[in-house]
Amino acid sequence: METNMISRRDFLKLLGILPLSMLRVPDIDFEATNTLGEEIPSILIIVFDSLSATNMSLYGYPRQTTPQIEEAARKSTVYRRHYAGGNFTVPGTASLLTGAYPWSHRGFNLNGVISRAFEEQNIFQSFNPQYHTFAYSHNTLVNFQFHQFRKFIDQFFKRSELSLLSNHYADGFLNDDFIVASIAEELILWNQNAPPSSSAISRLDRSKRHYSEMLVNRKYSDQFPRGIPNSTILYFTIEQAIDWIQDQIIDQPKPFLGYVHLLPPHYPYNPREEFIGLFDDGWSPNEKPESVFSESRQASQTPGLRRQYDEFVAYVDAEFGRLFGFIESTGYLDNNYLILTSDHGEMFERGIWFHNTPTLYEPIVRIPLLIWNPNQNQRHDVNYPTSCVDLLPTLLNATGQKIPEWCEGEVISTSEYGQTDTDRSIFVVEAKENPMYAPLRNATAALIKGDFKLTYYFGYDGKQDFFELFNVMEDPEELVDLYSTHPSHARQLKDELMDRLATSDI
Amino acid sequence: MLMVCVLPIHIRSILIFLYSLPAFLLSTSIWDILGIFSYVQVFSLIECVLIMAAFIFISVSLPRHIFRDKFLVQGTVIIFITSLWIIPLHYQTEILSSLKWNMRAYQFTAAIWVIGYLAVLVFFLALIRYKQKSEKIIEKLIERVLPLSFLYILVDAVCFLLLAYRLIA
Repeated sequence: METNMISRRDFLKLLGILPLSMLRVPDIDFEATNTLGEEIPSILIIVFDSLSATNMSLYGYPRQTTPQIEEAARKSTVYRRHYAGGNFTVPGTASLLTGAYPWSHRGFNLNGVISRAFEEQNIFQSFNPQYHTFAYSHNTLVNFQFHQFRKFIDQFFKRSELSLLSNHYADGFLNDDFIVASIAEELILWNQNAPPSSSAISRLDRSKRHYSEMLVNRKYSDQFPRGIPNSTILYFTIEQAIDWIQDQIIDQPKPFLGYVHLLPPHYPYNPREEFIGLFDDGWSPNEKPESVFSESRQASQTPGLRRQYDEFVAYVDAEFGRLFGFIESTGYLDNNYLILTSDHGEMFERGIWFHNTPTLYEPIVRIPLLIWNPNQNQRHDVNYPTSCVDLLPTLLNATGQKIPEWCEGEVISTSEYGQTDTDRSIFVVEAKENPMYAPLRNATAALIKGDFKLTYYFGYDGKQDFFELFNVMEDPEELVDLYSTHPSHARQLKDELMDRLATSDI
Repeated sequence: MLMVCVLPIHIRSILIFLYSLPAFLLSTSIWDILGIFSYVQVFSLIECVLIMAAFIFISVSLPRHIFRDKFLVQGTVIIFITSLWIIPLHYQTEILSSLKWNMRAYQFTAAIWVIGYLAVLVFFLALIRYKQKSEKIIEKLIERVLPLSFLYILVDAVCFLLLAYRLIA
């Protein structure tokens, strides 16, 4: 006789597979509509700090640093010649968030803020109130900008939200005065360019910090033998950040505009254990001539540092792959946007390490940009130059919104059918030492147009003003300066750059 | 005693603030620069209170004749000499770099630094103990320092109010 009752054995079998059901991604309704019933896509922007396109296998780097991103890129638009607004976080992020070049938003100094006008002219203001906006950054300098845009960010997370250990006091009880308190905190407690202004308090704080850092590093020493990824006062892992982003995708009200800025692969390069030694392959890049801005770094240490950076990029890639797997499984990409980019690159050549330099060579300003459009099924490659200032107008256009006049970027094609002026001019500006509200007199500016890149260095102490011209398509390593051998082309680009500097600068 | 701490600690913090000022002037408004200055000054005052508390603790812990009898004069000497001697401690990286990262040479330099500090300190403390004239000189110095210290305390009070306004507004 048959019975519908399950036996004890069946019950135990079912109990055994119960944990598997926990792995199933919950059903999430990503569809959102406006008052007219039109569908509104959500937008998630993920920025990895200091991620240079020239060190990503996605863009042809010989080391397999980004296999996961390459796999994910099969359903995205890949911008192959995408440029940052500057060569470090302040101008890079400010240009991305405002759609304007540094000579307009004036965010180009270390610890710098941006012009007051752009507190009302930025990506959060442009999408608010139609969108729910949220933002997070590991990087203090980005948080300075978030604080300036704060009234347009519906949910603004503190730095400590994604940290294993935070010694950033301004992020805690002085958060209402974050920018000034952060600068003062650095000056009082852990000044890097001079002694701290306090003796006893900074000594006590340093001891406390070292002790807590030692504890957290010891706790994770098996997974992170070089130490936990950190920004001196904030310790975190990318795993923690990726898990958090997954939660936000599910929990944030739709439609949302989310901007998440993660510090890796910024220095110090502390990847998870399995990525250490991944590129002990003996490979080394072409020798390059010493820059006039060379910091006289020890050439023998450069390959090792580059290898560590590549390992850290591979760690970032693996975690992005994990996030992408999750995003795909939720169906988010059926009707929403995902963007992966960076704020600036990193370099290990010409006697220069990292990105604190007046130069604008390709490794430091060429960054990744990938856009996953709703329901995109195949990869498109965009081969003409694009800039981070283009992202805001492109997203506004894609979501059917008006592009404001202050935006200096252009709508770039997000598919092979898009229309874009492929012979347009792109600019990159570096002006750390120039006063914020003074005309640019001590700076570097680059113009990228067609195959060429003209860089103008001016106002540097003890150095004559000079130009460099490279054909970055035929000579992507920037080894042959064409400025004196191609005078007519050089003059044409020079006139355009000088004209733009004269008309756009204050 | 608090007034004696105020002078070297505030001079140091103001000098370091002035060292960083050109960088602030590049991109920071006057109002925000005043804010940074206020944080620096208020923390300097807190530091003075902490150091004074440490001295008071030491003086009540040790037998009376060692420290308490000449608390003000001895404390002043210790504070001034320590303030001067501590400056190289903040240039460890530069010193290491100039010694080409030779740790043995650095340890040797550090040992000379510590021995030099103790020797100078002991010398001046002995001078105060055994030469009454030197004690009088220090007392005169303290008298002259006091008006300036009051000025710093006044600045600290204004800075405190300014910070309170920033945080409330």
